Amino acid sequence: MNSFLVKLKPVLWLLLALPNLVSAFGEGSVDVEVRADIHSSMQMQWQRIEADDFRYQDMKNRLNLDSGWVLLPYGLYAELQTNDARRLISLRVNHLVSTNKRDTIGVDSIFISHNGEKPITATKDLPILSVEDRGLLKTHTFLFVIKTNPTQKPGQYLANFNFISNTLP
Amino acid sequence: MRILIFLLLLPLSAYAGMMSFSVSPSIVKFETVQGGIKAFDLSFFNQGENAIHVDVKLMDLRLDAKGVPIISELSKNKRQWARFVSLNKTKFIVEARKYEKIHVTLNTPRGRVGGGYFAIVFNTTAPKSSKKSKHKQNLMTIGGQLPALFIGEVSRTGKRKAQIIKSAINKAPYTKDKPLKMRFVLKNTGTTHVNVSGDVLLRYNNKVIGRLMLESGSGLILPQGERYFVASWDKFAKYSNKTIKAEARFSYQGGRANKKITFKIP
Repeated sequence: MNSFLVKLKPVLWLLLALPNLVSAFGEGSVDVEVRADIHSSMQMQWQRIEADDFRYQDMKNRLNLDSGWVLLPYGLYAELQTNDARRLISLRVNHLVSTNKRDTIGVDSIFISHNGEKPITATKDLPILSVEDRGLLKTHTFLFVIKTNPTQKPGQYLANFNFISNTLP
Repeated sequence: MRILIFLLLLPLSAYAGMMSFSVSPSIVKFETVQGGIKAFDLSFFNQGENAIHVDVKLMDLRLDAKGVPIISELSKNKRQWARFVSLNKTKFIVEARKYEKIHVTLNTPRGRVGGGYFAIVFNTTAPKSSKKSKHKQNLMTIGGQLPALFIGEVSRTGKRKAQIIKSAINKAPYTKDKPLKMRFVLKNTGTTHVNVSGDVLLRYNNKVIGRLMLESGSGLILPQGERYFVASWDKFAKYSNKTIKAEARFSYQGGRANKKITFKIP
């Protein structure tokens, strides 16, 4: 009986110690297969900023506008983040349309100041998230400037902005 | 003009919001047969906390030289198939955390060969401001646009061919921050799309001194489209005042394109 127990002892010891030995050898000794589906996602938040907002004031102070240029008394603040390496986002500005829908101010008269930079034409979509920005939280502040001309009529105008999303095929 | 400023100042209201939505799948690659009917399902998922108004449009699809999709109005171009597509719904509202399925049916035109492309664009209108404006009109609207891209081909009818139409090296001086860059423009002269990959082999005194990958994303080029490929070389300093021969080699399913250029590093 004693000899049987003596023989059994190393076998039991090995059986008990095996799980610990496996983990002690580190990751390389265990094959673990993990599968995960990560879906493409895009988060966007925006906020209209008013003329008394500190972001508006900060950006406005960086601009040096000549006469004939009118800064709209509101701007747009946007936060964007994506996990998709093929995602592109741009900002599109449409014509300003009067609320009675009779008059327009063409997009060629509208300029965008992006994060306080010199205003650029709004006729082209403005890229605000590129493939290099994957995973980063991007923040943008936009102010809108109108190049005035005598054909523009006073009135209440509706501004329409679009965030254009694209996926690289 | 002063009047204009005052009037624009009048109707301001605080506006804040967010949009979170997805369209799945965002890219559909398919094969079809002449005269055949092909059906697809797209899912629009509103992941946000507010209802979204959605307006779906069929549009043309092209790619620019960097591979960025250009979505434009419907045309009668023979490679644009949007006019052969029908949708089961084009305007709907998706409540928060809900999804909507859209059935897409393509009636593949008879007598067509090669590739065909279109985009289904989801234009969304942002939820209204939580704060009520004192004025009836809300003078600012914000929307989103997300396309699903369709890249198709009539099976075994497309001709695949690509040609290198331009090659250039950026101007010296070169530095670590501004390395030597080789640029190539490839044009798809075939009748269907190709996925191109390539590299550049650098030789000095007939000995290979380096191999650089030509980068341009997936390398997809639609028929009659062009695409830039760029390779950067940061070990140029070692070969100052020496003449280097570079051979760009592109390959795609069913073909190859090569171009040799010689340049001297200042």
